[in-house]
Amino acid sequence: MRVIMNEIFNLKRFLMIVKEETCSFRKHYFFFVIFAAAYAATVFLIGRSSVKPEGFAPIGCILIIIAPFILYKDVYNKIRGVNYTMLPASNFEKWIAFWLQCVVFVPLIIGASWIFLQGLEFILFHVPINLNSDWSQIRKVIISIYGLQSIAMMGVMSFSRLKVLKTFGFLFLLQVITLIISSFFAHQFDFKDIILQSQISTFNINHTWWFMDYMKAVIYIVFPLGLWLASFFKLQEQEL
Amino acid sequence: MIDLQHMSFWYKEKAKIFDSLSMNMEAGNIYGLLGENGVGKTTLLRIMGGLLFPKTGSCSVMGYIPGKRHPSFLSKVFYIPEEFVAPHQKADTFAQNIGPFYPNFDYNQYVILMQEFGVDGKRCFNEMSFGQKKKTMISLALSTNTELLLLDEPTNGLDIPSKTIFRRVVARAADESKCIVISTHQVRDLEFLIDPIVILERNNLLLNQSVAAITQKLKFDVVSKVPEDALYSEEMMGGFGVVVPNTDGEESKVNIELLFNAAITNRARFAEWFKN
Repeated sequence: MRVIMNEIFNLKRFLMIVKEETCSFRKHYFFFVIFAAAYAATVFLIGRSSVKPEGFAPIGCILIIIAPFILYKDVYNKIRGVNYTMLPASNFEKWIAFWLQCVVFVPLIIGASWIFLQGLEFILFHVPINLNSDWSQIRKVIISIYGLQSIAMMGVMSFSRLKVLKTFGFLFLLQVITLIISSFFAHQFDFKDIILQSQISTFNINHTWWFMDYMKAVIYIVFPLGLWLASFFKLQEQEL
Repeated sequence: MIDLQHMSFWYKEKAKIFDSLSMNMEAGNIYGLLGENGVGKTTLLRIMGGLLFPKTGSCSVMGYIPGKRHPSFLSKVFYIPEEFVAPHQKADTFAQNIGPFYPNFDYNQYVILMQEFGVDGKRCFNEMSFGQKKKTMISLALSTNTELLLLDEPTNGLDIPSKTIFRRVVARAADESKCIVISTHQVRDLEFLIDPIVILERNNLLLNQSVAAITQKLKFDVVSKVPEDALYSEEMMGGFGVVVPNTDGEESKVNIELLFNAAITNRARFAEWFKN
C-alpha cells in the first residue's frame, strides 16, 4: 500500500518539483511584478487623480488568467517538453505543482505586489489606503479569475502546440454553438407568451430563481473545479 | 530489460512507422540503433522512454509500461534527445535540481565528468555552445547512473577530442546492470563501442545481433577484386571493402558502414540468416 502511495504522491519528490519549477520560473515571476508595476505606474502618472494603484488590478487579473500559458507553454513541446515529461515524478505530483504555481504562487506574487504598491503610494503621495473593500465583490472577482484561469490551465494541458490560439478558437466555437442552440430553443418555445400569462409567469419566476442558483452552482463546479480535474487527466494522456 | 511484442506505431495510420515490431534488449549491453532516415529510431527511443505510446502491441521496460510514466520507472531512465533546449540556469544548478530525482545520482561523478569534457558548470546554459550543452547533458545522464540510458545522436555537435572522451566515459559507465541504447548515423564515432547492433528498416526490424554473431556469419575485408559471392562492395582506399558470407569461420573486424549497406541491400538474406 505504501509503495502504491509512494508512486502517486511523495512529499519529498513533490517539494523537489516545486523547488525546480520555482527556480525555472523565477524570471517569469520577476517579469510579472515588473510588468504589472510598470503598467500601474504609467496609469498612475497619466491619470493621477482618477486611477491610482487600482490601475494595477486589471493587468494583475489578466496576468493571473494567462499565467499558465506563460509558465507552461512548452510543457508538451516535442523538444522543450522532454525534461518535464521525463522528470521522475508522478503525474499527480506534477499536476499539483502546476496547480500550486498557477493558483497559489502567481496570485500571491501579484497580490503582494499590489499591496506593496498601495503602501508605496501612501508613503510617496499620502494617498489613503482604502480598507473598506466590498468583500462580496472581491470574492466574485476571485472566483471569476480562477474560472477563467482554469480554461487557460485546461488549454495548456490539452494542446501541445499553439495553445493560446487553439484555446481561444475552442472558446469561440463553443460560444457559437451555445448561441445556435439557445436561439433554436428560443424559437421552439415562445417564452414571451408564457411570461405574459400572469399565473404561469409567477410560477416561472420562482423556478427561474431556483434554476439560476442551480446553474451558478454548476458553473462554479465546472469553472474552475471541473477544468482543474480535467487538466489532470489531460496531463496523463499527452504524448510528445 | 526491454521487451517489445507486436508493437505498432504510427502518426498517420496509412503510414505506419512500426508494424508488429517484436524485439528484446538485455542489460549489460550498449546497443547501437541504426537505420535510414525516417525509419523510426527516435520514435523507438521515445516509446521506450514513455514519451510516445504504442498504438497496438506492448512495450515493457524493466517490467514497467513506459507510457504510464511511473516515477519509479522514470527514475531508472535517462533520455537525451538529439535536439534539446536547456533551461536558463547554471549547469551545476540544473544538475543539483534534477539529480536528486534519481536515487543513484552522484554529484561528484557529474563534476568529474564535466571536468573530463572540459565544461565549466558554473556557466549558464544560454552562454554555452550546442556541443557544450550536449556534454553537460551527457555528464548529467551518466552521473544519474540509471539502468537505462537512451541517447539520440549523442556525438552530433561534439568535437573530435570530445568524441573520444564520450566513448571512454560511456564504456566506463557500462556495467552488467545497465542497458545503453545509442541511436546514431555517425557509426564511425562509435564503431568500437556498440555491441549488439540493431538495424531498423521501414516498419520493422532488420537485425538485432551481437558483433560476435555477425562476424560468425559475415566476413568484412578489403580486397583488390570483388568476389562473386559478395553481399556488398564499395570502392575505398586500397581496393574494395566487401561483405561476404563467412564460409571459413575466420573472424574479421566489423565495419558497421559496410554492414549497414549490406543489410539494406540484402534484406531477405539478412532476415533469413539472422532470425532475430
